[in-house]
Amino acid sequence: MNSGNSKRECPGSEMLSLWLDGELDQEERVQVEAHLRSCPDCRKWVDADKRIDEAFTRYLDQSLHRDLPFRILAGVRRELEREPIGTVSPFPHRTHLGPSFFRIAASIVVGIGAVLLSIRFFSENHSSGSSSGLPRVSAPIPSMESSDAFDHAVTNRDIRFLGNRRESAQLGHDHGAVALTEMTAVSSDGKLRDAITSAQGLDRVPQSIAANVHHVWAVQDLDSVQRDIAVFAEKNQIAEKKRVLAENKKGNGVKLNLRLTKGQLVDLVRECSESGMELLSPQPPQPETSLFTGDADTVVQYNADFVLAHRP
Amino acid sequence: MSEMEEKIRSREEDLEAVRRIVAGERSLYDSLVMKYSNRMFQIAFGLLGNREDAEEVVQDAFVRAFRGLKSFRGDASFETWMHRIVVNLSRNKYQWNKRRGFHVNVSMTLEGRDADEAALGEEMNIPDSTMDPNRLVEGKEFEQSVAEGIGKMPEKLREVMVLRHVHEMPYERIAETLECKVGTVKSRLARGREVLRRLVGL
Repeated sequence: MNSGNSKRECPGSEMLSLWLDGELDQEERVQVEAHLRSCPDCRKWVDADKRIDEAFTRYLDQSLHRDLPFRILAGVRRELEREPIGTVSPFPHRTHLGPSFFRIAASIVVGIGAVLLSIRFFSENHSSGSSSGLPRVSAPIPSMESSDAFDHAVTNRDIRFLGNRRESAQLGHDHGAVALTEMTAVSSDGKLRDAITSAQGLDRVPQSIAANVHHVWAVQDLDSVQRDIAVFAEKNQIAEKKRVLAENKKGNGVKLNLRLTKGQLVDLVRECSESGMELLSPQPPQPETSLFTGDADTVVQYNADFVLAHRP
Repeated sequence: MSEMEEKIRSREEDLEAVRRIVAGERSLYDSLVMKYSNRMFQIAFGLLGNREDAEEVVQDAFVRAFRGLKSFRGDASFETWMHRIVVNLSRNKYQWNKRRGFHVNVSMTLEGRDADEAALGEEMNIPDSTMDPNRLVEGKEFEQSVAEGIGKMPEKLREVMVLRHVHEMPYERIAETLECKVGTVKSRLARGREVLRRLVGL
């Protein structure tokens, strides 16, 4: 930027910054753009800022991990369990005590809580005559049955349903599950029951059973979730369609509706290709972003009608 | 629905959720945590440059927000209120780290005093490497150098830069979060870009 050039008065860094952010009014914007067309120094200036802006946005976006909201939620719930909603100011005071003070204080509180929970845990086990010797996992968290969080997790099959508490506890131990809770009384929610049915790969779950069974679920680490989804999809839909298509050598293809993440979609296309088939889409798959986690890219899915066909 | 209408709707939904949570529907708080975790994490991560610290700050912010939910009057949106809490906690964390010698960087020469706007960044003695072609790296390496540059900026410039880059936060909301004037946001962003450009060698 050459602010000393009297013939071509440069707009100044603040003006260029406002232009980059689209914060100028119409008249100012036209003036700045006219100047940029004639001033290579200022163009270089804004190009560098654009590159930096884009790189920094990418850096922030890539900091996210799919299970992050679940991990934070689990931590928040651990802290807040049975705590009344208060009126204290949430804003920290600038203090010289530092986080170590709070950490120690929190540890004491958590420690006392853990002791109380252990007593409860053991007394419950003792009274029911159980001697399972299961690895210790988090204490039951209040039901999430009616929450959006759970519906979302079901819809996205981020959760894996398990038949009993023992298996779930082991899973939580093995995978470092970030959330673990009990599901009860699912019969009143048809959508939920259907989701459980499909997630378990069963034809149907009788309502009378669903009403009484306690479903335990755990959110696992991302990789294992994706593997589970892939296995589920393979077993329950795609494999079936492939079989139908393979039996009908002269068929035009079979339709299927898929709701998959981009990575799963890419994998599926590759798998089809390897088995002499191809996945066709009449229209480009539309990314869907769940309302549940805002615009985070971690939950974008692609939902579309596809045609699975023999490769010509 | 326009972007503006969508924001208003989201804000009204949040206010309704807060009202119901205070009235006893605690499970709704889960939805707010899930809805805003990523965004709050990006702010804390941008300010602190460290995942563990950022996650700790965000969790603490949601816990504190819940504890103080009755004091939330709805003057600002729930999201902006959360932004303020996260920025405040991140400042505390940053100061604490600094006292213990973590994240030592050139911005430390300016820490601890309210330098006037024009002086921000002036005393950093950043080498001007604009002409060095070796600095014009691409891709991941470039992103990393930008992130490191952000970490070396004076705290006040870093705050506006991070808030602006998290989903292009509007100036008004940045000003609301930092409790300063919109004019201050504009000048800090311009200065921040200038400092960062020099730090990454462009």
